[in-house]
Amino acid sequence: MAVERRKYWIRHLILIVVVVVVLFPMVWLVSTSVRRDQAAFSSNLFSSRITFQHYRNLLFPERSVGRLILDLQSATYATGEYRGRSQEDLKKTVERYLVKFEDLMDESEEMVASIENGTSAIEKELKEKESLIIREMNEVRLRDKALFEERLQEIGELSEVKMAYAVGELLETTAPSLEGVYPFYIDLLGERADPIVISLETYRKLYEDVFLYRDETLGAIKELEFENKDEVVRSLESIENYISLSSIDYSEWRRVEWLRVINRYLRDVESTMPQAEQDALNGVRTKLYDSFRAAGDAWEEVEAAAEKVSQDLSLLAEEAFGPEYHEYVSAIEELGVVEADKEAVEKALATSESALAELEDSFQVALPTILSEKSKLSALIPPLQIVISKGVEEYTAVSEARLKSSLDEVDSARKTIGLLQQQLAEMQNVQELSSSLSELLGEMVWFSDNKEALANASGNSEVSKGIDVINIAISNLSRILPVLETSISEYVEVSENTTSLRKELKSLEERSEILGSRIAELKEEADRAEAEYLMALESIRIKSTLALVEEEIASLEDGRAYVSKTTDILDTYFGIRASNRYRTLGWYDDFDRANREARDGTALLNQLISTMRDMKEELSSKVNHYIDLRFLGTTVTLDDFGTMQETYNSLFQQVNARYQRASRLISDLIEKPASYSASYDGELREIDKALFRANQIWVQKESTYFYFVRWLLNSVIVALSVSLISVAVAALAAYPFSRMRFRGRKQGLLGLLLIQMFPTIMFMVALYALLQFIGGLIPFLGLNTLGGLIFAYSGGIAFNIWLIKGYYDTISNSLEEAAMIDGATKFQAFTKVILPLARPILAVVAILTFMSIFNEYLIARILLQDMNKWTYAVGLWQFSGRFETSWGPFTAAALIGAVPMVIFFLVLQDYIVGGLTQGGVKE
Amino acid sequence: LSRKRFVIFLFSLAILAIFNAFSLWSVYLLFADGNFGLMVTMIVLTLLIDIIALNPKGYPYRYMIPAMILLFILTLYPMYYTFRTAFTNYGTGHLFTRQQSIQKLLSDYFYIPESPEEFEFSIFIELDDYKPTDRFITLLKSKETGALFAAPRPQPVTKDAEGNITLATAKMVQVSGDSFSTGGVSYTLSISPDDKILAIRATSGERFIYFYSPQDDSTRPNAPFYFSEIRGIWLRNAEFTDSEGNQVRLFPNSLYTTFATTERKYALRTETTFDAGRAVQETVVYNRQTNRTLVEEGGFFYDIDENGNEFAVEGYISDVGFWNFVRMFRDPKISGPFFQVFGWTFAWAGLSVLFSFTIGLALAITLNDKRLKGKKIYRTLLIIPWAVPAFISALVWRNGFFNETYGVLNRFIVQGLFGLEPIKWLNDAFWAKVSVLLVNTWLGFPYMMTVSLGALQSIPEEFYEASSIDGATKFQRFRKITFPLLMVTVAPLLVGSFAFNFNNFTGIYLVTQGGPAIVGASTPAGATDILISYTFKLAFEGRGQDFGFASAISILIFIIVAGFSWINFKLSGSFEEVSR
Repeated sequence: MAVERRKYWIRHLILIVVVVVVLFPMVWLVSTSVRRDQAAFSSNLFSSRITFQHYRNLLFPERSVGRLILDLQSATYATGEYRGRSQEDLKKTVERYLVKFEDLMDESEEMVASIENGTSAIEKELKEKESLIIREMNEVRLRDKALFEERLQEIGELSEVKMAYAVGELLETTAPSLEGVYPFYIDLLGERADPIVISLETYRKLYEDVFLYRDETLGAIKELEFENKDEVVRSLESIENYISLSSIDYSEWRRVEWLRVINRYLRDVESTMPQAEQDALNGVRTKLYDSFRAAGDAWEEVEAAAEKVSQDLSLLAEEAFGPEYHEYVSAIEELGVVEADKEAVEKALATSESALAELEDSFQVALPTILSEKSKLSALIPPLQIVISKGVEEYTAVSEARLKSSLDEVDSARKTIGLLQQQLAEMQNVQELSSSLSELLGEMVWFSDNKEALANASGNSEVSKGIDVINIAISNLSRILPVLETSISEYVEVSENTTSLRKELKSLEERSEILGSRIAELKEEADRAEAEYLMALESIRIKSTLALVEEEIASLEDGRAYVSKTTDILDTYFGIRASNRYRTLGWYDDFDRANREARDGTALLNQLISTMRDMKEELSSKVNHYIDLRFLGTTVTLDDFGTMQETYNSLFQQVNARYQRASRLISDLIEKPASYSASYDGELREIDKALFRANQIWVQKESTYFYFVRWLLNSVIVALSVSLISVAVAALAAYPFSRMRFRGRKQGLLGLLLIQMFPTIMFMVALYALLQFIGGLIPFLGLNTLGGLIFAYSGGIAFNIWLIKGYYDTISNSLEEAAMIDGATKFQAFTKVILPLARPILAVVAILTFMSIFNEYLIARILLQDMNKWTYAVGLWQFSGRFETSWGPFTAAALIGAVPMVIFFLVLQDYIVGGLTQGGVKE
Repeated sequence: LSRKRFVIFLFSLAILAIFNAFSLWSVYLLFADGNFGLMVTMIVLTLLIDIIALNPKGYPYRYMIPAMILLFILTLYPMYYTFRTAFTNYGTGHLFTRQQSIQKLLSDYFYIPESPEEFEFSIFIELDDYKPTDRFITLLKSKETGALFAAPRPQPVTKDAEGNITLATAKMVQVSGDSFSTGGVSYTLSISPDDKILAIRATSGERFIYFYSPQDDSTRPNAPFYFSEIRGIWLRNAEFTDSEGNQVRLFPNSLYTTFATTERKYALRTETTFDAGRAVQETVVYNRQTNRTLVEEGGFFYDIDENGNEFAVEGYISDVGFWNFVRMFRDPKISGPFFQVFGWTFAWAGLSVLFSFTIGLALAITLNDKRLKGKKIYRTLLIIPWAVPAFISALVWRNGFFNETYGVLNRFIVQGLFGLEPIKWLNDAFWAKVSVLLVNTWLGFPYMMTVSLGALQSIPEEFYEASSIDGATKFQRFRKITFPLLMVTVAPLLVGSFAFNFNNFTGIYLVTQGGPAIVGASTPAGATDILISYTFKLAFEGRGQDFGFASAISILIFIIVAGFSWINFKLSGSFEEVSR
């Protein structure tokens, strides 16, 4: 029994997995339709920020500000859907829109207030919690400290040489400096770094001098009045830009500040001063310049020293980690070079190989000519042979000369071809050309060999015809020969090049193999050394931050500095992600950013609201007059709409950009709750809501939203009408098929079957023309009308007749007979007895028809043009194209149509399954 | 009672009479329209109904009258139409009958003679409650002679499908002194002291005031009304005929700011040709400008330009015999993609059935256990993909799941879960096929599951009991009992499903639109196109429509599907039901 139960457990598990997989698209559909964010761009599959806005937009579309401005304009100008409305009607509409406009402005203000309330509340509370954050950070700092110390203990003391080597590696990527981490490294090196220490000390003194003399110069000119004093003072004060504890740019300073400003102006000033004062000023000025230059020189020395030390340190590798490690490192370096060379050679090789292929292709083009000329010549030989073998002398001077000149040309062509053939003889890939050339040569040789004999017979008509052939052949050949010559010489050149490249590649490959195997041999030893080296590195880097962890964090600024300095080490050596560790601080910063965006946006929005209010007042004062004027036949344009539109476009875009960013940040805060955000969750959601609503109030809404309900209604009207017509007609027509015997019954049933198999795609061409014709007679059945669509759909009754007939067959005859004995007519028996009994199948057929018509979109798409006449299916199809990434509206629209159908289906599933499997056709 | 029946009889007779009257009327109109196919359909339908209604033996057929009307007009006629079209070149360039094409040639083509007479013009409009209306009179003034003409609003002669006027005509009459008369009404001009025409007054009392003239800047504010209501509707294709029979139209060379005399480019004339030694009088179209007869060839009228080259002017629908069918096999640019589409149609239908049946059957077997709890719930949940309208599911899959950049599959599964390169679900021929099959399997397996479940439940328990006594293994039981018995019921349904998928337009078109396009095809064929979607694209999409070819494929599909259905009926024994 226990075994049985377990089996069911597995079966349930499998079924649940299958159900989850199968229903995933549906779950996605539902969850996406209620998402507030842009699902297509979100990194989350689901979201907790839920809204029914998409449904509201579709079912109860609201005119947003952007939409309202356009509609106001259309209504005032009586264009678009307002065309042809009466004056009064237009005025009322405009009035209504203006009221709505005012309402939206009020609501915007409310939203702004609500955003501000929320943010300021959080802000205030956060201020109070600042000290808490700092305390938390200090706790974290102490934990870090413990971590660091523990790790250092683990690593233990490493030999001085190893440490020095590791520091040397670090120095290579760290610029010399008197502040930051550099002095710490230098300190670790002890006397090895003496040259750097000494030169740095010199630099520090000069650095201080520079500032000293700068101040003195400033003091000296303080009392003076001269034309460019301000400029000089600025220049002197900006000296910090050129010199610091970690860098100096002497030449730039000299060019930009000294020569152009300080020296230039002060020299002028000095020339107007008494000698003594002049000397004094000149003295400090010169000292400033000298010390700056000396500092520049000193810095160069620092860099040289650093370079030297760093080089010395890199030589320690062998001493620190053994010769194998040293070799290993240099082998790897060399391998890198070899591989790079190899790649370059391979590239060159590929280029020349494709050049060869290209040339081979052009040889292929020459082949037909060569072959055909060859066969011409070879066909010529046998008849000439016969002539020669007769040995009859038959020539004139003219004919002999003509023959000789032809054969001379053959000879010269032969020489050229011979050379070409020789060149090609050893090439692998062009054997075809080479052999065809040599065949051609063979034929040509015959002519040369029999020159004399031919000359003797040159008067013979055969021979003279032969000469013509030869001439043609030679002239054809001479067309391609020069081309062939150049390409063959190119070919030869390139293939030589290719060969040498191949050789080079081979030697490089060998070298790389050797290096590779050596590296593999050394690897074990090297790995151990590498591990030690890394450990040394780690210990140095941790030590360099030890000072930092000691220091108390006093403010948020300190905290941020602390985070930025320790992030890297914590991440690399302890695998701790800063974003997780300092969540509260990160949270605080994120909120701060969101707050700033929201505040900027709000300022702009307030401006936009007040501008819009003014414009609206202006507009409402004259819009009625305008409408009057228009109805009198005078059309002027109102600039107000233009300016309104422009203001809206430019300002709202800015507001929206900021609000969108704020909304995104806040949604992140909500979606990834730190323990911290829970207490603000309510407020955050409130802000989020207000931001979203503000966007909804202002954003330009799709015009399609306003048609959606109409589409649904159209679909229901059409589907309902068709299912009623279809059931009525089919129920009637099925009766005689089931109950009576008449001529053509069997053929009729088969015909119905055949009819439903015909693909209806091309029907639409006929139906289009048909409805066009009918529309001329009966307007409500024409093209682009729902009536016409209903009519067109009503043709699909063949299958329904079959279904209903099948059901009638199951109803016993006796009931009708009884009714007819009681005096009912056949028709009465049908309506009073059969129809009530057949109610279930009629219902099923009606519902099936309803569903299939509701889902049909092809015919509807072709027959209906006006947007407000579309059916739901056509609309949704347009929706899906238009909103390829706006999944919210699309999924909501899809669900609105799908849910009733699914419920229908599930409730009636037994009937539907029964009905359909009987017919053997799906849908 | 008999009186009641008599009333019913009279009533029916009245309805029949009305029906007859209506169909006669439409037959007349159809005849005038040249739509003989529908005309014959209507005649046959009417005769049939009359016979059924009046013949006492026609009683059983009377029930079918409404169905007949619908089937004749909405199914049989379109079928006939499709058959008919399959043997024509109906399509872009060949959209009208020959008669209509000639009519177009005669009415739509104009040329401007070398030195046309130009007219400046001004529009006078009647006001209604101080608002301009579209009742207007055009005054034309010859640039050459300064003579003044007047024309009333032109009468529309032809309109296009959207109801726009394509030709409107009126007579223009010379103004003598300050009055003229046209259409039985005489008009007087009101002229100001400085010799400007301010208004035109009709004897019947209407007053047309000076409204707009392209030559008069002071009327500029009225330009919008003129352009949208007067020129855009009435004057664009207006043609005024003067007393000498010259046509005057808006002059393109002056950007429509003047009228000018134009000439019809084509006209009819009789030519005598010799056919087998006998002189035959033939009516031909000729170009009045060049005096050349148009050449008629392959459903086109060709004109000849000054270099002697023929160029097509108007095409018309003409019979091409079996050309459309031959094209499927002969023309390599058509037959290549066609065979690809043809092959894929079978693969698609077959694989769809295979996948959905395999999955459906597996689930049915899992569910088919009386002791399994929650069976009904599982079944209901698993049936949902079937319950959702297929076109909605298809669109959801396409938009939400298969999108290359944003789609759920690529972002969360292919890249997110497996870290692979994004798959081109819709733009790669192979993956597009995978996509449509995936969707169709998802849509189709619930049906298969339901059907198999029903079939499994109808297998009697005794068989299993007997086999377990014989010591059969589970697999043996499935292979020897379950599967064969299942197939008896399910096989016809599988064939039916195959036939359905063979024509499953939604499953293809809404997911991939048939794409990606097959390279080098001269027709709009795509890698996932099946015959039916290919037909649709041929007929309704792209720049060139080819109704003739599309119809030919329709007929091919019909033959194939009918073949499958025949097999199906053989399997399910439906034929016996028919002849019962």
